Amino acid sequence: MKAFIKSNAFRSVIVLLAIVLVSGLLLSVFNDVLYVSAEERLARTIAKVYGEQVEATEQAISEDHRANAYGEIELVYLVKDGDILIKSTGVGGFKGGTVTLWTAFDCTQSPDGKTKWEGIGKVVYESNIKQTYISKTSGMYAAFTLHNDELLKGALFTTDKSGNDITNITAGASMSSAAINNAVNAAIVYLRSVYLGAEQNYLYEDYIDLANSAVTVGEGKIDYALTVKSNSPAKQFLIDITVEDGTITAYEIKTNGSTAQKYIDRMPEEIKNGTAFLGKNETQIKALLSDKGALTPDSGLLSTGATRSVESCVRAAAFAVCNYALIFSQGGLE
Amino acid sequence: MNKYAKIATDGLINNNATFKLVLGTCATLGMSSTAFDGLGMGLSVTVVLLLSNVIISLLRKLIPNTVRIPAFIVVIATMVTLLRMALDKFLPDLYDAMGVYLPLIVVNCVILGRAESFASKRPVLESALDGVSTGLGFTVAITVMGILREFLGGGALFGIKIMDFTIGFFSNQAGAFFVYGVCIALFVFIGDRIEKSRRVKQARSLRLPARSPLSEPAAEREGTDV
Repeated sequence: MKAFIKSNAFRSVIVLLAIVLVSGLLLSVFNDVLYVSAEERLARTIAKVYGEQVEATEQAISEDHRANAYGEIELVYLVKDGDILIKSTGVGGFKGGTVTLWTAFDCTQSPDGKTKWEGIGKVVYESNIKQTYISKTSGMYAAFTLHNDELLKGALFTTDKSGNDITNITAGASMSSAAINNAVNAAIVYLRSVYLGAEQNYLYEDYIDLANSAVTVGEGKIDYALTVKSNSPAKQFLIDITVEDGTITAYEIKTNGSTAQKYIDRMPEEIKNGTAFLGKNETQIKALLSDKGALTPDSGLLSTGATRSVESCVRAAAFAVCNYALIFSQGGLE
Repeated sequence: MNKYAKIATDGLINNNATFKLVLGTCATLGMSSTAFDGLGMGLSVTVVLLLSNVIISLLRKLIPNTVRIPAFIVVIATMVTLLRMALDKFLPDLYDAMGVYLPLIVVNCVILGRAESFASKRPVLESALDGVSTGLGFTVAITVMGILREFLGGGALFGIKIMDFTIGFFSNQAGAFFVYGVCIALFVFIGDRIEKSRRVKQARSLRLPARSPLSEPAAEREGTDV
């Protein structure tokens, strides 16, 4: 025992332990000294957005609208003159990561409590998960404030250059750009739903460009010609679907939005020829997608190497079959 | 040259971590896309180098040889974590810009290399000077690369737009490798030229005086048959 205590091995262990303990103590002391509280972070954000400290009152988040197709709402503040400041996290980034941003909406509050939205005042970056090229995207944030006219008409932001939405993308960081756009879109959708009273009519509506889609209601069936919004890096898909009595009976991809032939080749054959969806109803199609519109692990479609393209195809099927009853009763899209 | 001046010039020029030793390549390529990012990364590495060299030098006689590397890494990781906390508190913009490369300073070969080869063997003052000079050499190198890449790839300098003409190649990673290679080549070329001219000067200063016996033609020497 004495020999062990006098040995080099024992001394090595003791010295290493001592260094680790002292380092731990030092870190815990400085963690308290240099701690940045949530209030301080909010004050920083407000200073970044408004150039000065202004009063901000935290608002309760509507749980029904906390999560949408683009991401999740984390914090909502009512700021001076009725402006609304929303902290949101956008999905769809590189390696499944996310980006968290603060979006300041220029709003006025009328005496009867109604909110009038004038546009986006500023977007400020907060944090990210797994986005190694995030520093390349710094030029995107100013662009969000330049399209208020289109936003007020119902547009959102996208990385795709086609369609009616507003394109905002950084070359070489398209997936991080998608997450950034989605963070702002999540905040816009929340603002529209909760403060402006705009409710979504259809399930999975966020994934479909309704303005460029057509629906024909026949006897016991609906024929859809859907334009599926881009799912970066995959572009728009044009898909024809027929649903009869709540079951998909026809499915054809007219335009494949995959960015290269290699991704088209990686898509499962049953997705490309539509047989994966034939005979399936609402419950079976819904099981393929999570609440955030992403493919579920149980779907068996995650390891294809063309996930975004496959996701777009499944979203189209989900929109078609899940809204069948509503659209049939309406006689078409409203 | 006294030993402190030698330590300083070695760190800055003769053993420049980036262009001569080619260490810390990951951080160099990742954070040299703009001049400001390069300067920020360089100064952060300098601070960590200084602190880790001082602490490791202070503990050099206590740390057994068998556990020196884990001990160095614990010290370096602690310094990097303290730096992260300080940047988050006082310089949040730089903290955001550095992103994932800030914690990667822990595995920067420059820091562990200097700890292993210098700080663990030399006194505190010399180790501190080595840390500062090596760090500043790294800072100058990565900032020069940042200036070149930002100017050529973005038409800007330190965030100020100077021209509209840009070559996107210099903004991406392939461009980073290219600029790195060109900078190393230029550094070695200039270093060789300076060394050559120094040697020529030295050789000239050793030239023999005019009237020495050996300088006269052999026939004029007494008793010498040609």
